[in-house]
Amino acid sequence: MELSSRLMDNSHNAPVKKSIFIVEDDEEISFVLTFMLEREGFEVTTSKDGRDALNLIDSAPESDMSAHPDLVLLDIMLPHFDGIQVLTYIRNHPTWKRVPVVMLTAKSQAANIDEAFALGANEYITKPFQPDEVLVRIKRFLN
Amino acid sequence: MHNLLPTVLSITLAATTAVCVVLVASVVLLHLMHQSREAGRERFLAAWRPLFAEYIKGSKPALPVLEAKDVPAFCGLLNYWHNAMRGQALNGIREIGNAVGLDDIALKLLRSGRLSDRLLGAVVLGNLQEPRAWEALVEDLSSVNPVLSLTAARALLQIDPARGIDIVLPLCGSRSDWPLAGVASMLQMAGPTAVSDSLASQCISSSRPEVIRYIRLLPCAQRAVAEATVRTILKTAVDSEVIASCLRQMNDIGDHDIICGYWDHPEWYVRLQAVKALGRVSTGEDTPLFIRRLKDESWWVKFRAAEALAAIPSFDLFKWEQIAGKFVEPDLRRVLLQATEARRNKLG
Repeated sequence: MELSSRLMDNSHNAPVKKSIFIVEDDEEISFVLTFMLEREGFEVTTSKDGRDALNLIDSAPESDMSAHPDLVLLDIMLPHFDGIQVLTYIRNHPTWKRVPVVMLTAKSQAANIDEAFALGANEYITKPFQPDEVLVRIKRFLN
Repeated sequence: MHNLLPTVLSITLAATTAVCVVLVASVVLLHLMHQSREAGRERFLAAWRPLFAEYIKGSKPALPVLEAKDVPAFCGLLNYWHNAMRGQALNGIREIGNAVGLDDIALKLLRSGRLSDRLLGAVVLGNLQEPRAWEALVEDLSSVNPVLSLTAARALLQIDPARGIDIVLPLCGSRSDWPLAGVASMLQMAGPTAVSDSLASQCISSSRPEVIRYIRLLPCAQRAVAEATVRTILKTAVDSEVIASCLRQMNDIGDHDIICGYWDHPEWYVRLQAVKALGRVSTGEDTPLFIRRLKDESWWVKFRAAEALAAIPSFDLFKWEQIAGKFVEPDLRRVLLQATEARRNKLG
């Protein structure tokens, strides 16, 4: 289900799966993360670049304070707008500002990590990564 | 003459038409070939991506036969995932490779006459940690081709770091055609536990030019071993480049007096490394030493001394600017002002 559709469809009473929004331009990594998270019972939507991510964020109705995913998994090196810009946008968005954001990136310098946390990232995982570790760290914010 | 003109025109027109037809046909053919390749790639990924994901996750579903035409793409995917993952996931990647017989395929590639096949084979066998490739990889170490020999070295260290380090490390110094960044990456992959003792031993027993390469690789070793090695070398070193290389590695406050011992060295690049090293370890009591180096004959030494002064937390910026104002030599004032500006920008 498209994230925007899910966000706008609050009419059913059945328990809703936790949703994760992955912003990752690498197709292989995006595929494996989606595969793994869907196996764990999460609903996953993806964006391949920063611009697409910002468009998706903007598409959620501002009047509905629950119209956002339960967690964002965010790469930094993205086309058009980088992950830091996307993170800043999320943290200033009225609806999305409290969504947990987990950075997943190859940038491992202390300066990058400090910057992400200073801008409001909740967690920072460097690549190469362990899939199980990503899962454990994500679940911390979703339980 | 007039009779010839229509004939010439006709021939020219026919030739031009033929060339255009050939060009258009080539473009169409290339496009069709590209589409066919893309379709093949999509088909391959649709089949194998989910299977890779399963193995990375730890499951072992049944696998189709790996067709010969898909071997390069499979190798590419396996190598890609090997670089993207760490920990338990790597076991899954190796398992899927072995399950489709990639170990045997890669061994054949390693013995191929084509360089590209041998390189691919070496990379895959290293990622699979295939011990049967050992002898062939040791042979490739002596190849004159630096890419092949370095790739073989990396694969050996992946297969058995403890055994491989004693074979590979002596070459890290002598093979000046191996880029230092590539060697460092390889040694970091092997890990400080495997590398430290052998690297320290090579540093101490080697002479120029190898020793300088080994010293520059010391960050790949355990910190305590690296520090002890540098101190040992400096006890007897007289070569200025060796001394400068050692000073570059110094980061411990316990080396303060050793660093100061080179403060007035005749070579400017030794004094430069001494200033930078003291800048890293100084606790703020070395201000007079740095001020002395502000009068150095080398502009680089002066600048680094000014930078080091500007970085001392307890150093008063206002007094710093007063000092800058006291110096009359224009180049020195410029050095101090540059360093002041750099510090201001850093502090925001």
